[in-house]
Amino acid sequence: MTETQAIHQESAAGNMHWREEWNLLIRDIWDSVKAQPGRVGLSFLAVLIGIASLTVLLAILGGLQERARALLGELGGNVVAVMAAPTDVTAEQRHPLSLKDFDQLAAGLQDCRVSAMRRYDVQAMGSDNLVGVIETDEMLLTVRGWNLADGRFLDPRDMLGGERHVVISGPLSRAWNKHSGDFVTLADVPFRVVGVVEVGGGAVEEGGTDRRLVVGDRVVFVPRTSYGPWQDQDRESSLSVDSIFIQAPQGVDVHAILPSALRILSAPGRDVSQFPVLTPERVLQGVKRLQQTLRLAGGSIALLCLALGGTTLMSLMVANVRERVGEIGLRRALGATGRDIAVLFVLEACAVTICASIVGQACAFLILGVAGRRFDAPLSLGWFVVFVPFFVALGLGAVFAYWPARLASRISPAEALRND
Amino acid sequence: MNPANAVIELEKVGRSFDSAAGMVCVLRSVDLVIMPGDFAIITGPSGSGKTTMLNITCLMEHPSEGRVLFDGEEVSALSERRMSEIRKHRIGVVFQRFHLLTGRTVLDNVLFRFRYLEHRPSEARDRSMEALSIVGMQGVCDRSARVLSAGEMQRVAIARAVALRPYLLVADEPTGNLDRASAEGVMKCFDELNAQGITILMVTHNEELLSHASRHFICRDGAILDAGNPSRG
Repeated sequence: MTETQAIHQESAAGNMHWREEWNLLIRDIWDSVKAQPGRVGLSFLAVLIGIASLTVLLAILGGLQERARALLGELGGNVVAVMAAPTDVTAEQRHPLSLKDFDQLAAGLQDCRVSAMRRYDVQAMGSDNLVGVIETDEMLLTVRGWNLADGRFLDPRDMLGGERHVVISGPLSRAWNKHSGDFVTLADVPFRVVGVVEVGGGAVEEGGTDRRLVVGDRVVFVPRTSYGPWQDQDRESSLSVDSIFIQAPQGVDVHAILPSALRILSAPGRDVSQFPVLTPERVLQGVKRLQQTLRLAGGSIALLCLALGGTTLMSLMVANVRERVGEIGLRRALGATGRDIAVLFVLEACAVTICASIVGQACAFLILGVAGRRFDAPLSLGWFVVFVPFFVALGLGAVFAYWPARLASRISPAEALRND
Repeated sequence: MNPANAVIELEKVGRSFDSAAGMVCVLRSVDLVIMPGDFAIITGPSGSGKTTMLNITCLMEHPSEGRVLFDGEEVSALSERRMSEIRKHRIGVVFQRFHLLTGRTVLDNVLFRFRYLEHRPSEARDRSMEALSIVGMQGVCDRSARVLSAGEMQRVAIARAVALRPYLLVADEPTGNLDRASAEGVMKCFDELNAQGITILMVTHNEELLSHASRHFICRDGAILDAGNPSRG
């Protein structure tokens, strides 16, 4: 026999040994489960509930995190948005933003990029469906950090000439099958498509979020100077804007810019604190508050369930040790070491928690699937939602079985056989 | 008799336990030599220290004092792991209460002898079947251990103990829970195994079984007395 053959034979024997050892272990565990189905069932159920709650909690927290990230993506990097006061306030409280404010900000904050936009909902391409027409300038794309998919964005020439040029969103380009060079009609007026842009993360597009910040999927961008037929007729109104975005230069915190911006906007009789100002922190604030509440409430419930499961498991294992003293003695008499006995008990506990974890996670995914469809809940089913509860279950089995296993491993064979 | 060849040798072995009432001395200065091929029976009243001595001889307990030599190797101060190794490979134990795994079949119970050994499954199975045939239980190898009579259970336990052909077979009151007929059946198995060369050390209350032994020891108040060969009267 060559050396290679000998190595192969040895390796095959080793594999067989491990297979055999594995089978024997499963057999031992199964026998132990069969011996105490009631107690094992209770431990299983308690761990299952704990793991299911933990999985749901992690999925929701992850979903909120993703939503927060998407919101930041929508706003743009290192950007602050100053918006006109909402339209549902009284006339005294209403402080419109105007192109004059925009010009002053652009002149006063020379290192920053400043862009303004105003939104109208307009019939397009002869259909009854409304699209958002956003009157803006050439800086919006850069400030908001969106990606150009085709052609170009609006440029200074479009602004100067008031060209009837339009940049359409990716979803509209696909829905209409229109690309750079094609024409689209907005309120029956033809506009030439000069580019296609993919806007935002799309995470917050439907409802609940301020449309002056989050533009949504079905939007087109036209030069503010193109004076489309949708514009208000009175002069003051036509000069107003919905929001002004200020992007601080690289290396400068946008919060440091904010006081200067508000100083520029302040004027006699105008309370600048009335302008809703949106910074990345404020975007995250609400989400973070929700996350904290959930972490506290949901985390406590999951932790309590897991502690309950662990305690039930520990009591199961202690009872197991007491009831199986004779078996422990027999195993020791047949040559098992204390370590073999401890490992057996820990593996038995881990088998219960792992099975409970698999079923618990399956239940949780079912619940999440239904909740996600019915309530549009923010959910994330990333790898951590699968692996974290699994390893928590594994750790739970090992930690709560440690003491009973240690107890079992310390029983001397003679004592075990005498006291059985 | 040359003790250098002894299967097990106890020299001035003592064993005492801590209890609420203070130290209890169970064995005092015991000397015992078991030679290969012996069928030794230890008799004595309850509490005389028989089982403690048996536990020391099958390396399940350390003595408090004295020396224990197993096949010439000093084992009285060995680590737990090394003692487990010797028990695993060289000693078979039969208990009064059988200690079968009642949820498993007869064959699985005998195969359990190999649980902590590295053996090919086919080899373990062959050896187990052979051991079952020695005790006359090969025909019921697939039966659940739960449904066996006490005598059958003890025969399965013997098969488990000898499946690996031990250097020393130790039995603690193996007929204690059996009726006369079953006890006879079990003793017949021991006779056969001894005839095949297996050294047996057995503890019993039942002096009627002495006719099977080649050597007899009497245990009284923690001391041991060699009563010679009972078959020679």
